[in-house]
Amino acid sequence: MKQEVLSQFPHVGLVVAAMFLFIAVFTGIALWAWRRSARAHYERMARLPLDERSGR
Amino acid sequence: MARDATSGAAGVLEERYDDRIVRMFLAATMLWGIVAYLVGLLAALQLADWKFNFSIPWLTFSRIRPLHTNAAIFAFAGNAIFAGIYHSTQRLLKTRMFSDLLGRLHFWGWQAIIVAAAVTLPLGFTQSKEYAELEWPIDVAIAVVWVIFAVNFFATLARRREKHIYVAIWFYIATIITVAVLHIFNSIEIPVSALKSYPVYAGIQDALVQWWYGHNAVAFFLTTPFLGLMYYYVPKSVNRPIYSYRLSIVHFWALIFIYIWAGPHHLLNTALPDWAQTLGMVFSVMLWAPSWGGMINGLLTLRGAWDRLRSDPIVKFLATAVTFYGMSTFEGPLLSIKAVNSVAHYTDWIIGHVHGGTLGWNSFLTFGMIYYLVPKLWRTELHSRRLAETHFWIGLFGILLYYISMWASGLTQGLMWRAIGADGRLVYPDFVETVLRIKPLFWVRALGGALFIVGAMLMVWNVVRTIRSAPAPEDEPVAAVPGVVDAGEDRGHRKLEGMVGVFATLAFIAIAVGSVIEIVPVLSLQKYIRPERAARPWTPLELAGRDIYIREGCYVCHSQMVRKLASDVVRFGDASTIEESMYDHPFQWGSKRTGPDLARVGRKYPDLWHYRHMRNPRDVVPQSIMPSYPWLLTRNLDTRTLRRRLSVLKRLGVPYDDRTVAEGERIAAEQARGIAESLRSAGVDDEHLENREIVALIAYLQALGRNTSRGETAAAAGGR
Repeated sequence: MKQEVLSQFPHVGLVVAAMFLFIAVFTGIALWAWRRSARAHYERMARLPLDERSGR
Repeated sequence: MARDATSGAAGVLEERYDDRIVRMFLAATMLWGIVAYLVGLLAALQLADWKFNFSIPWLTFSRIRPLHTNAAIFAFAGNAIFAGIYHSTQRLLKTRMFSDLLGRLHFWGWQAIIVAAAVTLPLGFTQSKEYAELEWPIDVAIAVVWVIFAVNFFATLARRREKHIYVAIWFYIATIITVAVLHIFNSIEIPVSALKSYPVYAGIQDALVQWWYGHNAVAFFLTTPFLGLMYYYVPKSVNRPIYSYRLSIVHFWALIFIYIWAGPHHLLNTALPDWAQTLGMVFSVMLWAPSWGGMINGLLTLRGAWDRLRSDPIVKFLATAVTFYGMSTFEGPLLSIKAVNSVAHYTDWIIGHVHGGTLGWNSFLTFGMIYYLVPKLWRTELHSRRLAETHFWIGLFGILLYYISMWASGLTQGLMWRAIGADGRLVYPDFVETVLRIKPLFWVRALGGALFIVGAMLMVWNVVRTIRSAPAPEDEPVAAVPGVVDAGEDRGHRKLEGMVGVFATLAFIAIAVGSVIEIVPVLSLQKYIRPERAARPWTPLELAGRDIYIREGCYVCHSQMVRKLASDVVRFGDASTIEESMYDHPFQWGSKRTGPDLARVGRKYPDLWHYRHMRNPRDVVPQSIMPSYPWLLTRNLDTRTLRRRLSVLKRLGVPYDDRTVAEGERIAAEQARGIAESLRSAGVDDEHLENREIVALIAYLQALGRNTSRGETAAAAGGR
């Protein structure tokens, strides 16, 4: 099916570029998000809605 | 702009939030919510019994249904997200909104747009593009009001007193940017008159752009902003941080990148090139992962507080909403698989799916937010928690009745449509037979909707009593905010969260990639057109009839797209081609078959059949549930703008010659005389028949499927 789809799509370069872009961005974000050093920061961020000091 | 913050203790400022705007949007949410639900109930009753159409043009189902969808999406859900955004943004950024004036302009501008929609849609002023029906002046107003909202929002971000932007705000940013892009590109149209326009796109282009928009209206109006609200109000309701902040980062980027590609799943098995269909299907299936990541993140926030599900109506509403989000986002990709879609598309299964999302996810999340916000904003206790509990159970039962009845209806009809016997013939050749089988379920759906409305009305009553019992409004709440914004060095995503401009640009790129790759190739339509199969443009009278078809909303119940499926071809005729709709501004492929497909209806019946059918469908199909359109038989056709319409279409590339444009009215009148003669000879008695709208509509219907040389040949050979 892949060949059939690609045979009808004249801009194969766009698909390849998009795929690499997607994989690169997704991997980058996942690595970024799960860096050990960011733990304390994320804990603070997660508490942001609860930290209002206005009581409301 | 003067700041309201005043100096307090060292390093701390006192900030007054603008909660008045939140209250205004909340009130509008409840008002328009009830209106949207009631219009939906009327539409449901009209399907259960055609007499509920009352034979009144502006109350007829085909005009009411777009009003219902627009009211539910833009009036109810729109006001709800604005309320939540104005409330949560100020608190998450620890600053008042940038401008009270812009907030008021946003509020009143949006309400004016809703009122304009509520007046124009029932009157038949429509572009017929789903969720983008509103005519061009209102489209312009939407763009202006959206820009006002965006300016106010981004200016607030610029003066925030919290360096990092919380995940909810990212979802708001993506919403604001993407809705602007979608609205602008899908609404490029050329005005013909004050309330009539033609889109620049035609046929397949229009179909793809429209469903790129339509699907992402669901994604970026009914999903991303509500996810933002989920990431704020779920933690607030149980006073616990979100389960995994890391997961929310991946959820956000994966969701906005993938969602934008999924539009073509609305056009599966149609004349759309296969590569685009497959692309839409694959990305829809990929959506399972981020959607469920978000749902799990929302639900697991309740860990350690599950007991609140038993005792707290707010938590009940929010948790159920997130569960419905998970169910809808499981079902959506499932429906996007071509084989499943071949059964479900055009049936009530899709209607059930949509309502699982809007009633279960959007409405329940909104109700939870309202029950949370009203006591806080009016500084009092909720009038009755027990009533809120009752609302929850009645509403949930209503949704289940609605969803199960539509699922059963869709599956029943979808399977009946495709049933082909051993002899190669349809088992249920009469379309109306498949309608009669599901009619009882329309009553069950109406009952489910009615129960849901009873619940919503209980909420309004509860809220009104709560507000009445509140003490006199005090000053706006004062919050202590940091006097000095943290300027520490950051790296990675942390740094990005501090750079709104770069963040917004990256979010824009994420949605632009899919949009460009999908749409740009299709904009060069000509390479898909086989010249020997090119269509002829509609004659002036057919065009006038087509505009009546659009005005009356025929596309709401009738598709014009015979899919590449055996059961479709056996029932309706040869599969539709791209060429047949190449000059259709806008396209009329439709998305629902409450009635049969009309792509090949031309010359299937005599003129008199159509005349009688429009006067009262039951005269020719005794069991029909279609509304009557008697006014078409007495209203005169308005040809004043016909030349202008032809001229605009010529400018858009429809090959009308100069003579046709210049003499459009005369040519139309000539064709009308021919049809009127045929009707008179069949016994119709009307002195001014050639001037009536019905004649133009018949001209158009009789041309459907016969506007290509292939269609003419097939018709002459006895095919349909």
